[in-house]
Amino acid sequence: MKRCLDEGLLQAYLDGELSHEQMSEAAAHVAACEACAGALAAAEGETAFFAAAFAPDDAVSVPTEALRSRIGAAVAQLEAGTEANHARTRGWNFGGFLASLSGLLNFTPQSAAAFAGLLAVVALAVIYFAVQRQTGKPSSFNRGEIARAGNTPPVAIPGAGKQTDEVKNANEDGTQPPKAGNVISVSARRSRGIRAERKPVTLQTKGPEVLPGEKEYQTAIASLEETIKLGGDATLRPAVRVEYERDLAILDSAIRETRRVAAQNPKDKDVTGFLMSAYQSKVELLTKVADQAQVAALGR
Amino acid sequence: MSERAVEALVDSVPETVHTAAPSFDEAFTLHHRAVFRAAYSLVRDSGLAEDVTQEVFLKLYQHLGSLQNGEHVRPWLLRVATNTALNTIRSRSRTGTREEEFVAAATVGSGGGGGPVGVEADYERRTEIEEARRALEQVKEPMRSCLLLKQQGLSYREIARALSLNEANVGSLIARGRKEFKRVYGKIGGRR
Repeated sequence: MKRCLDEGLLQAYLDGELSHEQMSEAAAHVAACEACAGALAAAEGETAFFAAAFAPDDAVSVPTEALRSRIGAAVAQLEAGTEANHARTRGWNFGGFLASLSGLLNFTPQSAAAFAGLLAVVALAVIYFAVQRQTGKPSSFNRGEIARAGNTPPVAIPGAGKQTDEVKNANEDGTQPPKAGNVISVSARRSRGIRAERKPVTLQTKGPEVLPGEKEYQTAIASLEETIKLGGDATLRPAVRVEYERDLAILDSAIRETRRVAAQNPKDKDVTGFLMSAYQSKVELLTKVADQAQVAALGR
Repeated sequence: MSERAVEALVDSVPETVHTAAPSFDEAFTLHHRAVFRAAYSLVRDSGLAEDVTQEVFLKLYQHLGSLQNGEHVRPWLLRVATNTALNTIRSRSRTGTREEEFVAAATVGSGGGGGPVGVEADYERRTEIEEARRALEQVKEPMRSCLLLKQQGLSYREIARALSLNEANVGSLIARGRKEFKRVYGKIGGRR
């Protein structure tokens, strides 16, 4: 190479982007040309300087699991937001979209088995944790909070789980047990003053107080359940459906347990973390089944 | 799980599924580190880098259908990551909280072991990074993206693909971008 290297060639030489032949020509030229050798040295210095300012920092640790779970939740939320549109405009380019995501959503036997294992571990951890909390802290604090949420008669805190569920179920049926209603209004008045006066009225139909971040999961879950319903019974073969329903029951009980503990200790990050990861697992399970439902719907 | 159930599951998976384009999950597994580090190299804060990474993968989720070729995914992700990170820096510098945070972080961060010398060194380093970022913001596109993507380890071909450029021009754009960066940085920082 007789002519001097222009800036592009010089840079490509520096970055090792030239072909083998061009590389040796450039090397020969730089060795002979003082101007090009100087330019190359300057370019090297500048590159190193830039690299120092913006180098990807290998020392910084990448929070893989945190990213995986928060991106999973965000995707679920995104899906929840678009589900309504999907229902309205059925068939909207969904085939290709599903195809592109199938790796994530395949409900293969292996992943189902792995998922069931994971569920069991999560549920055990959650229940163990819940029991630990329960016995460790006979939480008298926040009774007002719980009572206000309309779940638990304040006197029954130790071992309140059963009653909580009973009351909750009753509420869900739209019937309000008069006894619980009375306790709520009395304790609420005592602890909350004027603001609480209006509470018992609205609380009769309202569920437990929503924790931060919980609403997104609940929205996502509601939307996924809707999708699954659309798919109908043909979505899963009976044997798979049994597995799915069993997993779902485990998760629901895990969520219920953690939720109860979380309601008593709203500031305990560990408990809310457990709750969120239980929700996350449920969203993942539902997503897989919802995918099958959509495939089934498209196949019709 | 019974054999029949297994068959049922296998049967219900569409055939057309696995093409060259990776699934979202695969893309995350393969590239989240590169994306996070690219973001971190610009925002210099783990929490912000996580935000950027999440935004990038949500965009991928929405555009995965249009990325047919698996090879295009990494350059695409890194381009979106650097753009998103730059936007994040820009919006934060608009709110004017950044400098205060740096001061606070420098004071608190090295307060324990480093003593006054550590605080000063850390502060100086942060000031330098801050100035470098401001200089980078003044480098024009597509030179800036070329520089940043090169920095993230992409080849000229990948850079050309990610930015829709002619591969033959990438070297020149990097060289010009680098010179422009140095010139602006010299003005801002007065160093070197």
